[in-house]
Amino acid sequence: MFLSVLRRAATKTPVCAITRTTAVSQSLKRLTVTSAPVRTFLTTQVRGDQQRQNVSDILKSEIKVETESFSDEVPALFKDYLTKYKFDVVENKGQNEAQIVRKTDNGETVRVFFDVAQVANLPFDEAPVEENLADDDAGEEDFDSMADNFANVNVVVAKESDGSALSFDLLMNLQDRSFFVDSITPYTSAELALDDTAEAQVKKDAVYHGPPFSNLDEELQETLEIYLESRGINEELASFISAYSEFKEGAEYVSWLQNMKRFFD
Amino acid sequence: MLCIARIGRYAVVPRKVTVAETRRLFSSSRTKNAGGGVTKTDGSGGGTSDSSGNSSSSGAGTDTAAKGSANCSVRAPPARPRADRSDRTREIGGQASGQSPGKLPSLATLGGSSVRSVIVPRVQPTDHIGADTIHTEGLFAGYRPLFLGNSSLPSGSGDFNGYTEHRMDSFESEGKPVIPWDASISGLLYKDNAFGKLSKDIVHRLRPFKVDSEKLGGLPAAEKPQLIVMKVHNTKINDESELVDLFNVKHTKKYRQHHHNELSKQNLTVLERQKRLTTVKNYQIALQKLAFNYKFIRDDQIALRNVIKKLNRHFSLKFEEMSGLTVQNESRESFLPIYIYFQTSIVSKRLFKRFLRNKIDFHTSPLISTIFANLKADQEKVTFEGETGQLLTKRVNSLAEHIPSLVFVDIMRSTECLIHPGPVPGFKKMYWLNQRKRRATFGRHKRDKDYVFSISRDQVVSRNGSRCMSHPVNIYWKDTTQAFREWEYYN
Repeated sequence: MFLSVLRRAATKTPVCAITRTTAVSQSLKRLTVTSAPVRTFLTTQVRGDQQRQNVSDILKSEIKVETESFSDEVPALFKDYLTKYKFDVVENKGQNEAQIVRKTDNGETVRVFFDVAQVANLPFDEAPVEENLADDDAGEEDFDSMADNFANVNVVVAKESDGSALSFDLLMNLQDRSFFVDSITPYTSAELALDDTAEAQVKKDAVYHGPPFSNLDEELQETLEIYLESRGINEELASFISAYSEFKEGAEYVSWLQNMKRFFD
Repeated sequence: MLCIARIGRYAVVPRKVTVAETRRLFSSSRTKNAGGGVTKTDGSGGGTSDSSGNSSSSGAGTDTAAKGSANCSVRAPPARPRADRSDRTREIGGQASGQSPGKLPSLATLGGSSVRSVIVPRVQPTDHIGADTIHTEGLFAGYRPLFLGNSSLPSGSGDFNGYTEHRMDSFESEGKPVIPWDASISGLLYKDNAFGKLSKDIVHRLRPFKVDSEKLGGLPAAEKPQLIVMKVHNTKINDESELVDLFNVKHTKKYRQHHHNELSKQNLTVLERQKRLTTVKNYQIALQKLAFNYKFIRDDQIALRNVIKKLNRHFSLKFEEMSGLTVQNESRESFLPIYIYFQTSIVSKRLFKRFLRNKIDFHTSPLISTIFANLKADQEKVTFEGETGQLLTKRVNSLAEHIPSLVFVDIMRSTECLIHPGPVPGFKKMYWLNQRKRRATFGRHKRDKDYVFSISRDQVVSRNGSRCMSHPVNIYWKDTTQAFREWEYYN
């Protein structure tokens, strides 16, 4: 219709017919070109619905597979640890950070924090590090450093009597189930030690964290490590973190799939 | 009289001190120190014990410390059985620490020191003597007797103390020593029952000897012994009397003892206990291996030990001037921290100085505190304190300059940290070389990285307020032994 109007207008103005006809024809060409996406848009709208459905279907089957293989029951492997050391898991659904808590008879509250995603993404090699070292001794790779993946573990022990707290920054090596204490920071208030906001993070960064733990007096290091061990920070915790991270990562994955499916339905 | 008292970790050996002098010394130290000063030894029969179980009395009127040849000495007879001696120890402890006589002393008798201390005679190790051999009353090596009576262990069902008393009585009544063999043309016949417990090949090689009674007869009456105890021994046996502090024993096997104490407090299974002990042992072996394999570590340890020895000698001379008692110093090997060989930061140097100060204090403080407690005038005390402080600081500073003799550098800068085994199961030691990586690992780097935003002029906040990093931390590390073996070093 728009084209016929233009033609009609052209016939009514013969003076400048030639020039106008040229200009209009050129503009018509442009219009012809630009009109094509209008038709294309209609067709893609139909395909988009199909793709959404496809994603939804795949998610549905994925959820089915996961829920069949994944059990909500707590695995016995880390249940034993929780029972033995009287730790409770703090539910933190949808979050990477996991937390376990225990209250000791001495009026202390021990909290252990770790990142599930970090642990679950650790490349796990069954062969212990010592064997790797032994192999290296014989080979030419002597001059290369060993590269290992570690996970952060944060232990906060709060004293109920005065509200003070100690925060232990640890690294965990999953392969040999060992912990490395990096630093210990005393806090006058447990709230600051546990506060996870950005502002609190700045405050905590400004606090003196003490000398590197390995440079401290040998006996002090040893007694602190024994203290941690007595609070349940030991090789069994490393096994627990590994097993729990696998469990929680599985649960979070199912939850993530369901949330995804809800969007695509 | 041969008596050795014990001061903290030191044995005090008087050169020639009479009983009266000893009593005066001890009584004065009691009054002055109220439990401080020199550790008390009973002057009336407490006695001390040598390796072979011989008891040397320090009883009044029987103080004989006459030494014969290098291998032989004549001593006064033992005056009291062991039970009496232990009672005496309790009594002393009760007096010193204000405890009831029935309890062992729990407070140090050192001047001003709060170190717990129980003084008992040291029993020398007898590892080199077989069990069958040591359970005899008499032992001869060729012509020379190793032990004649008074063995360190009671033999069979007989009571050791009773036996000693019996032998003493027989000596006194007969007026001559018992010769335990009968030599005739047909051979030797050993009359003593104890020889029945010796193996035949040993008995076969035994030869009698003759006691030189003329020499003994020439001694003045006051010094004439009531019992002859032949103190003949080989070089492995140290039968010098010495007292040791039971509470100090833990320092000799520091880690293992510490762990034993810890283990006893906790309800651990046998396996857990075993695991802990194994870990401690492995840790000690690792330290010993480092010291053994690398001469520079050994030399540095020796340098530290020499400084401690010199300081102790200096203080023991001062103590000798005051009391006339000499002090036997015992300096034990102490392991240096490893980080000094590859960490050269201000923090590590400061901590190392603190380590040196602690070590030197640990070894010298008993003697210093004893001297301090025996100073009478306040001015003397102030002067001594000042001089001692200056001397120790000077020694610490000079040691800190000398040690470490080598510093290792990873010229490739490929290693971010070193790892070393630890004494506690489940824990290892990590020595960071790359501080930037360390900060990144523990999330304290984000203020100067592109992950951050600023909320004010003086505060920069990480966008990610999470406690832990979401990704595994990949660290390039090396074993400490590997590093020592491979890295370049500089003097």
